[in-house]
Amino acid sequence: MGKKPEEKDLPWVEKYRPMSLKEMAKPSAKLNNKKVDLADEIIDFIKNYKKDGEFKAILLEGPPGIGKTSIVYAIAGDLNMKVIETNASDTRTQKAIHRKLDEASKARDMMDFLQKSRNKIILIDEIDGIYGVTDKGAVPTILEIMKNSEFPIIMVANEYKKTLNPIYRSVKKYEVQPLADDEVIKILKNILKRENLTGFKPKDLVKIVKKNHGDLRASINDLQGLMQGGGAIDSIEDIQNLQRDTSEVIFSLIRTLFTEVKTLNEARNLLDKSDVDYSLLYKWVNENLPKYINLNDELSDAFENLSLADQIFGRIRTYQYWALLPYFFDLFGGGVALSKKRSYIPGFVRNTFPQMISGRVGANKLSLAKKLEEEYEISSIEAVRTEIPFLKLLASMSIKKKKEISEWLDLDAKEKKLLSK
Amino acid sequence: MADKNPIWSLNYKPKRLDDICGRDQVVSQLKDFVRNINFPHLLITGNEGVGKTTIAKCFAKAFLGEFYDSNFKLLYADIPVSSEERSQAGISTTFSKSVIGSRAGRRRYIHPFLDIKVKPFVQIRVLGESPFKILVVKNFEALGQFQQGFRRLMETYGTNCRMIIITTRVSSIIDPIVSRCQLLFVSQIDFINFKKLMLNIADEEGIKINEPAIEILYKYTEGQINKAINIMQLASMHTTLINSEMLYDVIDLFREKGINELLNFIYKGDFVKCREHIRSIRRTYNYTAREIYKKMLDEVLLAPLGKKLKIQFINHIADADFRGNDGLDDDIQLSSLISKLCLLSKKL
Repeated sequence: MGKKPEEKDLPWVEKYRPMSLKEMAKPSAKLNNKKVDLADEIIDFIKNYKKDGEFKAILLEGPPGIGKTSIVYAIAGDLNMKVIETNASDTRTQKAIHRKLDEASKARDMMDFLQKSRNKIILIDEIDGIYGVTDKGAVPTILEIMKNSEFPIIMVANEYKKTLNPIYRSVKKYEVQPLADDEVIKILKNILKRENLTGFKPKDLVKIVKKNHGDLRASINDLQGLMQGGGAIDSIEDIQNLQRDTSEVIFSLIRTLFTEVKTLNEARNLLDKSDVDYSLLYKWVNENLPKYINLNDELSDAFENLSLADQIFGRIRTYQYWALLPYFFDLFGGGVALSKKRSYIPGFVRNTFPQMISGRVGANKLSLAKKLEEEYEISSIEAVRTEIPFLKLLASMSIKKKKEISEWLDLDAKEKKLLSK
Repeated sequence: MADKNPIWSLNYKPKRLDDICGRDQVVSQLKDFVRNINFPHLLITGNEGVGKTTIAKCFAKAFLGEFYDSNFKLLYADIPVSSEERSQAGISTTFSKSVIGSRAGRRRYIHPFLDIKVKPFVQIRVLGESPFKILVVKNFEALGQFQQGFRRLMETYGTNCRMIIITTRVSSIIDPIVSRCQLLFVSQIDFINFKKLMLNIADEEGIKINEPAIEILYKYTEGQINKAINIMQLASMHTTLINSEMLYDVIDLFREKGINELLNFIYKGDFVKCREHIRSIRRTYNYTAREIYKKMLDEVLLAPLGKKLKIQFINHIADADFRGNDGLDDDIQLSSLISKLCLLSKKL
């Protein structure tokens, strides 16, 4: 941490990571919807940390790149403490979580480690990311670490996750707010000054910041990308190129594909130019096709091409026949778009996200199926396919029977609703 | 039996080998296995719903005794592995690690089912004092070309874990696996035993059912006891004396209408409605695309269509199924199929 980076290649994000609270833009935060000074709160927590205190840990929740991790490091720097960090990129931790059998021992290792050393802050980064939904062991492990830890624990998360509820209950949760645009601009300007770079128009700086919605890390990365890509820029095109795939991009692409493309070559060019992930794009085409083509004969032609494209793509992915890729593009792009001849598009079409339909059982139904599964040792799929439809029929016969069933399985309101649907 | 449970078919589900009625040959063979505390890999075949899984479970329970819970696992080969399970298993290397030889640098494709679901269970040692673990794989034919991979696991971990493979079609299972297993055929229950069973249940539940009604039940359910009991229970909601007329009403109610309705939408040529409908069916029953194709085929065969049109319908269904084999997105293949059928039905 404390060492001065000398290599030129060091990412600016690392190079200019604040070592002290004074250097950084402090993000504001909310606790129970009340605005608080985050830095003060954290310092307060660390200084008054007791092994049997009310809260064993605090959680910082907020969008990426706004300084959640940085503020912890900055405070640690000020208080001269060491930060022990685990996060999603730490493969050892990931494996420990994944392999249930190893888990218990790993936790013990960590505990031994904790008890030997002093003056440390434990930082668990991205806790919403590493601990998968189905991994039942992870949450108890963290709770246990929290219970036995002699050092303050600070957790960082991007978003609320239902499965982490037991953790939320025993921590103080701060909602960290994104930075204001002018604050980000100030920092970027400062970095440019320290890098001795000139010729960057303030207008472009604003564009970078606006695009990233308060995400300081992304803004710095974009800036570095632009500056190191070839010094000063004078057009905004570079910034546009940096734009990540968003649904808006796909929307407009699909719209152009169906309304403006007239020849196969045009379709090819359109798809060539876009950076959109094509494995996603053809699913979008599938979802929105019937909105642009409404005559059955044209629809069937279009789907013929699309299904062939899917088949080809499957072969590419399974057997690595990448030579087939051009066919895939032409079929799902031009092949589909040019099937439209007489279909009339009534004005503006609202595109929709592709629906994911998988063999997995929905959450509500799963809880009902799980009950049947436990009760009578049938698999949950069996329950969904044969027993739940039958239960529905039975429940529809008489109210008394319905009551009997719901009492037997101890159903809650949601599950009852499922039965009567 | 527990009074609380309102579902008969679950109540009368056999829990021990002795409870299984009518399949004496298979049961006595399995009892021999239990007595000898040893058995080879098994391949259980038989029609849908005749009780293959129930028998396998009863057998495993009898064999493993008190260690049943820790040493037994039931897997469905046709249920896709979710992305969650995938990421949990952390499969990272998709390329062959060997540097020399014909496989060097090639893409290594292992069916996630084997890697994620089978291997972890098979590799862990036996818990308790039973001689080995038991793994039951249902709908094994769905593994397709990856059966070879399973064969290897059978060989490597055979001493640790015996596999019971359950399938409806032996023909779709590769020879090396068939030759490694002892085949057990679970036949349909014969009418005499079926009648005895039904009368027994009726007696216990305090209803009456006459012989013609039982005959209809037997014919309609093709000896699927589970289904028969369910129908009987539904019928009993109306009267305590079940006769054949009343049974027909219930059977009609019991028939799954989803695919039939889908065909009706197809005849009208309304693509958007069809797609919504097919998606809702898949959501409610969690069917795979292949199951939908099969159900459509069954319905089309019964549908009031001309010979030529029927063949054309079947042709398209077959084509969709065939393409779905290679394809990645089932929804595209299904959409493509219904768009073609919608076009065809214009000629109706």
